[in-house]
Amino acid sequence: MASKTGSATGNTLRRLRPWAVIRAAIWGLSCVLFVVNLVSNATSESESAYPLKPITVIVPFNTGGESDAFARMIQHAAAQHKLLGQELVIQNIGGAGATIGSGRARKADPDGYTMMILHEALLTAQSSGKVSYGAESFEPIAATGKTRLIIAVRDDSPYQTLSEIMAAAVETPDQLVFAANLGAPVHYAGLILERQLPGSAFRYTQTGGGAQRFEAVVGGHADVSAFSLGEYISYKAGGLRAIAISAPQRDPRVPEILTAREQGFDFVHANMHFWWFPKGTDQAKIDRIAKLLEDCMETDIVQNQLATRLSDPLILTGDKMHDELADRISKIQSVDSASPDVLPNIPLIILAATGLCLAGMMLPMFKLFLGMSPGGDRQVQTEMEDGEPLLSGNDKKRYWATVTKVALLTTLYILSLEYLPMDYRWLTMGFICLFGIVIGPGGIVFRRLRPFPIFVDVVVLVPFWIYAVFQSGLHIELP
Amino acid sequence: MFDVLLDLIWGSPINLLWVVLGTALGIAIGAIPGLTGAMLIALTLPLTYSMAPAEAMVLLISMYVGSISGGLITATLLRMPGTPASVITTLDGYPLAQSGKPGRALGLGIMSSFVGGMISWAFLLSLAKPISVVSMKLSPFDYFSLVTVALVLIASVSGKSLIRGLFAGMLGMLVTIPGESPATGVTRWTLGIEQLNGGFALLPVLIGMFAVSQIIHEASRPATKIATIAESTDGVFLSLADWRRHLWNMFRSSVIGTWVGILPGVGANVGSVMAYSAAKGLSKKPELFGKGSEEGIIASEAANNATIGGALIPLVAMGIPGSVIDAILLGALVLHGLQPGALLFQNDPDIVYTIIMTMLLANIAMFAIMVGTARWIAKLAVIPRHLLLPIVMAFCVVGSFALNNRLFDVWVMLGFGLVGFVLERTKIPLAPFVIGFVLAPIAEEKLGSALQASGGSYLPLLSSPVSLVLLLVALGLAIYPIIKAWQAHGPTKNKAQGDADD
Repeated sequence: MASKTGSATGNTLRRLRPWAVIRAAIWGLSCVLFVVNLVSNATSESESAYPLKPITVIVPFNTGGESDAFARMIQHAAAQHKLLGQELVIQNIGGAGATIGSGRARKADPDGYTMMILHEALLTAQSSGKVSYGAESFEPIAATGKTRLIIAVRDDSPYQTLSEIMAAAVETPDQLVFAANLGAPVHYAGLILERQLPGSAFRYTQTGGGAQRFEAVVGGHADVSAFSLGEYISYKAGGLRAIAISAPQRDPRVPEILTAREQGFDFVHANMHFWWFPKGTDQAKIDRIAKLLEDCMETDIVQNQLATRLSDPLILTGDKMHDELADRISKIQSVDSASPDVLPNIPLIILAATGLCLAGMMLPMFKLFLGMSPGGDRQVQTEMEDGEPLLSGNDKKRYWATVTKVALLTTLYILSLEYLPMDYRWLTMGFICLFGIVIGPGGIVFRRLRPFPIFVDVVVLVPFWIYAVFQSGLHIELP
Repeated sequence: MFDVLLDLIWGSPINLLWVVLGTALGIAIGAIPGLTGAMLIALTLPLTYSMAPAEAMVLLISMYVGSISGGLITATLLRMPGTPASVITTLDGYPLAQSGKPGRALGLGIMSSFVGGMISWAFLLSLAKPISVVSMKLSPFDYFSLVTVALVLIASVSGKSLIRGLFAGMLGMLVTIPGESPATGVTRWTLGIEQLNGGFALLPVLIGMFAVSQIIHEASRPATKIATIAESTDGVFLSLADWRRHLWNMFRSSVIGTWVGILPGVGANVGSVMAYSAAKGLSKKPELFGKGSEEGIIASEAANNATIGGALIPLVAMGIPGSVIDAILLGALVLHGLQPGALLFQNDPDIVYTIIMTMLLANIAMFAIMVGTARWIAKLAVIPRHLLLPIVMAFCVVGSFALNNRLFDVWVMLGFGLVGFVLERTKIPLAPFVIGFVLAPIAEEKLGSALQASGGSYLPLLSSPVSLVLLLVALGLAIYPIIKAWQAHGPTKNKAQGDADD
């Protein structure tokens, strides 16, 4: 490679001296990067005990959420105190109430190199019928962190105590609006509360995350909702008033808030982050990671961060964790999460409307009425379209031939990324090269792909740089 | 609010670096015909994953400002609009450049871009906060009606034909149906494909519609002959008298651009068309338009840059995107864990003011870069496409993949690339598709929330005064173009028939 660069550089040196220097620099840097990459891969495989390579932590939410922040805090603590000897790599796979990420973790190899962090959403997704699998499809490692829930209302709400709210929910069932995230833990908080007093019924509305629930309660669109203690503290000034905390005793950080028990309702609950391996992972590996999490929870980094979020640095492993999990599963399964079906059939309406529009476009009768410009300067608009010359005859044929080739080539490229056991870099090199030839002038005659040396640069270097940036820089495992 | 500005400038050099880098990249991509700002921003987004949210927004907003501006250079010097936003600029910019004043033609365009950006920035700064305060008070029913207005609006204003705009909008909404219902959390229409449980993700769909379809088209069309580039661009700097002479036109065009920008789905190209028409109608020398009129260049360029600030207003104040690029920025906010909507101002004021102040800084950077380097930027247009397009396509693939680490999204990208290609070929506008795609889940969630709260009654939709007024506006917007078309073309049926068939 180096000799080719040398000769190509020599030819153009006289005319394009600055460009040649830049080119040489880019090639040099690429080579160094490539070698460094090889060496670092080689050294990391020379140790013996688990873990031999970085462990992927699937976070089934997008970046920035609470689970993501928790996972990254653990990652940071483990790296700072060198607790594992290997890196933890966070992989965000968000969407569909965490079921896409949990589905991926379930199907991962149980080799101890893929784990997942996920709270009760794993259990509630199964209970509400969203997915068929639940905790039984995983090996739980540990439960970490403990955040209490706060039942809260608007500042000027007539309700002062939990009893008043529940009494209202009995008197006028299905009238008191409870802002929830349907099928998610907050929804279950309401459902568990309902079970404490037979005959009580809230009206749940799909509202979303903490920020939206706050907006709904303060804006007067909902009467009551549940928030994590951290959320409550940050929204309190905006006009939120706490009614009860879901703790067995009062919390020393917010001693003024009465517990639900003090008000006569057995509602003790806390959000915890559970860590999971795929089913069938070695017990030794589970113990190793449980130990890692225990060590992490004791670091200053974790202790301080959790303190600012009003979360307790608690960790449960082994039997205690299994008991906690069983308790949660039975609680969640004991309530019926069916939500009232008051919505019109939106998919059908949109489908029908799309069909109508399509028919309208096809029918010349409709065209006569609706096909006209809704205003604006007609002349200007016609001139705008003149920028694109109309194709005729041979050009048209060539146009569609190239369109087909490009589409096929890209399909082939993605297919081979999915099914061929080849490195991303080589496949992409081939793809870029073929793509250039297909759309370049003069077909297969390479020399007409001018300027040819730069074409070689592009074909060889771009895949390497994409690989370097995504794989090493952003820790995104390319196919 | 201004402490954020100071922090951007003095706080860390990295932010200023992102502003300059983003603006320069935006100008370069904007200047290259076939590559657009939407493409650049959608493909940069995956690279910002490891950045802090504020830094990412600084980079993306700078790219937005640069990409809308860069197109004027190639439009003026080569008669090749670098982006759709600059199409109108070619009408007068190129003739003026041909007549021996390329520098002056560029100077007018750059100056009015700068002024357009600054005026719309002033609107953004002063209007965003009050609007967010008002929209916080809206009930879910009101919000649903508001989104309805936006949906009708995109169909009726963008593109040549109402029915095609409507069809594109409905198609965009249809695409949101597979996956989890935003109102109830129930999954639907997934055909048993587990990967589809989360629906089609925003980024792969947008990369497909706006990048892949465009690459396929660009790669296949016959190469265009490039006119020679003017050697000298003297006269880029304009005298104070020039500024004063065109002040009113610049102001008017900027206000038009800002207003058009606020309307969802209507992008910079429509803004420049409307301002151009207005300038022509009010000009003392309308006969010069199309032959190198200075007023024409100014109207087009002031308006298309003014749409940036306008389009950001509903984005930061209500979480409703004002243009296709804003739809991507909305996705960027979500990816970085921020909740767009009326509450963004309250929960993350720093992010909002970072966005607003970045627009100011990027606008200044844009002015400096364009004045200094216009001549070299024009040369970017001659980069052969067999060097450019394969790289962009490789980036499309890796960008879609990086979103959620799955190849399913890459297939989605390719699929929507082909859909977008077919729509473009059949002259169905893409912008309503995107806005329908982004707004439908919001509308559905709000309607669901509202109906769950009202126990299934639709009455509040009409009994709330805000909602009632908005629905009437939506109805008017839907009917008005039909009446207008009927009046204009009803009597002369033959002509209408001919128009409709083209």
